Amino acid sequence: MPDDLDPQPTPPPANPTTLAELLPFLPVSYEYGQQFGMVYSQELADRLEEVQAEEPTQFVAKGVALTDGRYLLTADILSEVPSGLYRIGFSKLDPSRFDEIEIMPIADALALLPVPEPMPE
Amino acid sequence: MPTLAPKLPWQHAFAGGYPGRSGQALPTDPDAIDYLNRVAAADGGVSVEVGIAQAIDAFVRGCKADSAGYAGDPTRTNWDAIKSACIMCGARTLSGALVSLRKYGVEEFVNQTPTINDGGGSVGAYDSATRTMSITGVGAENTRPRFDFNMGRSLGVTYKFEGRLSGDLSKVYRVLFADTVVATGASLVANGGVFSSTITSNGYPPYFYLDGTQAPSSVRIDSLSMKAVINDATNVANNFTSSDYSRSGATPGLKGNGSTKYLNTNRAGNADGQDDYHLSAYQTAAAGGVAALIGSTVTSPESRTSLVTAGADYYPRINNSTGALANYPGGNTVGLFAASRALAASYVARSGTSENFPLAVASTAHQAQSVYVFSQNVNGSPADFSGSRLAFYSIGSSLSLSALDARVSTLVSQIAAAIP
Repeated sequence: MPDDLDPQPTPPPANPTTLAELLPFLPVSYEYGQQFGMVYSQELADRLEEVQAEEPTQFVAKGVALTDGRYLLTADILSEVPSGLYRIGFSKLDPSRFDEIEIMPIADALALLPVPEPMPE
Repeated sequence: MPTLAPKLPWQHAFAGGYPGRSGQALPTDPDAIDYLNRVAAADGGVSVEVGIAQAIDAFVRGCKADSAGYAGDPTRTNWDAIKSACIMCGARTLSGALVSLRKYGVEEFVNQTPTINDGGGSVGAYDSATRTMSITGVGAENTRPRFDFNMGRSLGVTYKFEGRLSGDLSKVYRVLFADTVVATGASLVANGGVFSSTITSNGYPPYFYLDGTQAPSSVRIDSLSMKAVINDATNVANNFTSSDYSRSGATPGLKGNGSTKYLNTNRAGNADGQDDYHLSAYQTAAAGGVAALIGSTVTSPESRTSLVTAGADYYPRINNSTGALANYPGGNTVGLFAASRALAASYVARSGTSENFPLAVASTAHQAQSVYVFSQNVNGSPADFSGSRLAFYSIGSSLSLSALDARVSTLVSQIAAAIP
């Protein structure tokens, strides 16, 4: 079959709003993932830590606390699931809750980070 | 004629050369080989190329030849002082890059003479020349005499304790370390005198008990080793990915993102001496803003151990009792950032400008929380994330910063050139 008749994979959405929307497209490319942040609740952060503790590995996803009480993971980690460095923890997550994980442009997510400690002059 | 020989995996059958062709040197330092083997295992069973293996071998040998310049121990080398470290370039994968340079600390068995505890009338003796424990007088207790070797006593540190005994093995009552039975006479007989265990110290040294009721008897120490176990760095941050890692080329190293990614070294902030401590990180590409390359900070009671850059400024701290510190130059340069404290009142720091500068800030005790890389651990949470690319970090005792700088700079440049 000529190359030009090969079925082209559907690209992931340009403006996803939840992780559930990206599930059919995993793994996404590193460059695509770098455009977004994944923001989720304290409850999901606790659950993420819990499932990863069940089978400790060297590669662990651990969100950073935001000023609004939620947590942030950069979405380039989605280039390492379901079969990459973070496969073990990812396999233990409940996909039915992925629609609770908000995807937002990385600039918007970074704006929610605490301000670094100022350096003395 | 160009040759591909330096690009062969160093464990390849022809890595050392072909019949009729000139050969090339392979690593021979045992600690370098141990590290390279562990990296190969983490990399999926494929060893790094000969050129990279040679650079690592030369680095380890060089650090062993460099005096740490520590007045409290004139024999200490920079290798002795490096406790937790990662070469974050050269390895084929990110998993390999996070393998600890050293799996174990320095050898604590240095032929020290044991303290002998007799009891029940037994008379124990020790011959240092042949490392032989013996009973010359019969006693009434099978748990004496006891030979106590002063090592492995750092509370909470996990040690690899192993060795081989020969002689009257059946007359060994037991070998004990940290109140844990490591071997008995029966197990020694069954295992040809070999014993091995990994145990966390409770502060008590290893005890060798001979059965005093069965004198005369003697047991020789053929080999004995006590080494602290050094944990591998663990990427506990969210999401360092394979794409963040560049093993060679113009800017080798692992790149942070300045917002969420960091490494947990698993090295406690108080694992090394308050006034005998160093930190280092080799930056191959600088980041903007406030960026901690490595560190651990407790704000109450205040204790700061970190290397932080802020644009062109640089703030090195080693167990500092205060955050107040003038800015020093070189924050946006490429090279080794490091600081070493050997005194309570002052310490020495260095940036990519390759100049040592002294700093007069008093030390204070640090807490047990782990040291982070690409951020600093502030009261248990990562803060001041760095977007820089780092090719090396180390934590440990006080050492020579200029010698470490020279070795790490050469290592990184040789790895960068090995696989362009």
